[in-house]
Amino acid sequence: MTDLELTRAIAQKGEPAYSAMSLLFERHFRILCRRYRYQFPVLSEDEVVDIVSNSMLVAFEKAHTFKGNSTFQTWLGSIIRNAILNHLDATKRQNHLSIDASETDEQAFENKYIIDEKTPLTEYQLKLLGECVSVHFARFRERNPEASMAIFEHFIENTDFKELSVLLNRSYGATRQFVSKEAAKLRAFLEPCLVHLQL
Amino acid sequence: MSENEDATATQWETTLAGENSSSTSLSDRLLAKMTRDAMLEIGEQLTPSDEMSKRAWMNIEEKARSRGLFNEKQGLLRWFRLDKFQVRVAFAMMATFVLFVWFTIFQVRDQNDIVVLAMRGESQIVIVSDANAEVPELVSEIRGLKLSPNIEKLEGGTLVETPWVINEDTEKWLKQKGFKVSKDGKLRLFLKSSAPQ
Repeated sequence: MTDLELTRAIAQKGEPAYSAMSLLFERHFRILCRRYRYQFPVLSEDEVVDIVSNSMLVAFEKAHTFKGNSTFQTWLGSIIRNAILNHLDATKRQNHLSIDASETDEQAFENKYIIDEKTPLTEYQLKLLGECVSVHFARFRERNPEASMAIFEHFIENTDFKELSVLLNRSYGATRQFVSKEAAKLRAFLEPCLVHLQL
Repeated sequence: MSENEDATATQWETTLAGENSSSTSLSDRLLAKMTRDAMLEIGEQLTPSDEMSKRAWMNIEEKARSRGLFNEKQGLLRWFRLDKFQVRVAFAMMATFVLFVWFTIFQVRDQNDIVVLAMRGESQIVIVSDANAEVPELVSEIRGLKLSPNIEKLEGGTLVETPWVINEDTEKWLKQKGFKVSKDGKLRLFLKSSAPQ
């Protein structure tokens, strides 16, 4: 059954509503939690799970208002996003993490990955490259959570620009530009890994 | 990787390499792959565990049950698959319609032409033009009475409903006189106490 058919079953109530809710939960809950944890790293796992759960409950109560003009995830996503922003307001937080003081020493950080220039690329170097990229990507995500979510959603989860534009609350064109620009920024973030491995 | 994943991976390589790159070098491909792996790894870490998902579902289920989301709709709600708001709207519309018809009937009745059919003593027996009370005996009586040659239209009167049912003959007679006979067969009579002038 499609998401629209399931929401109609929920609106009818009774036993079919239970099965429909359960199915929608299975399909979307974990993906939505991951997406919003990517986008809002300042929130803990418990907070995101609570917010997404409560938002799903609200969506089930309002199931009769879902007309299928957008995807169910997009429709529910707007409920979740508002709930998150209200939660951040209420707890007086902004969506960024403070960068660990030990990592402000860029040179010390980069020196970890300096390899002898003459040594050819080995499995060990590939492992180090992988670690370097992981750490740099994590730092990029801390500073640019929305960008990292957008890149993850589009290039890993195949979310199209139309849906992404709704998630990011931007126009279609602005979303494409944003993703392209942030990918270039990420590239710049990752450059030190290549330089130090002499590729 | 599936074909779709291959295509996305290639797209990611090109994007990361930069818009002006016509092809990707080994380093570009390596970087793209490592970043992709890093993103997937973080994605895994951020995805709730099975245990957490199960707890979240139990929580939702309990709250949904307490809010009556699983209850069968009752009565009208069940038969007509309406929610509470729709039922309220339907009842409001029905009530408005009933009130409209009720007032319309009174208005029509008040404006009906009342025709003097006969006179009897000090009472004027009048029959409403769309009279729908059947009084075979009364009609017979009326038949036996001297009919006024000039039928005059009067307004007002006291409404009296009679329990008699119109039979075929009476219906025919009334229709001949230009009266409409209603389906439920009752004749309404207006009795005026004032003496005829």
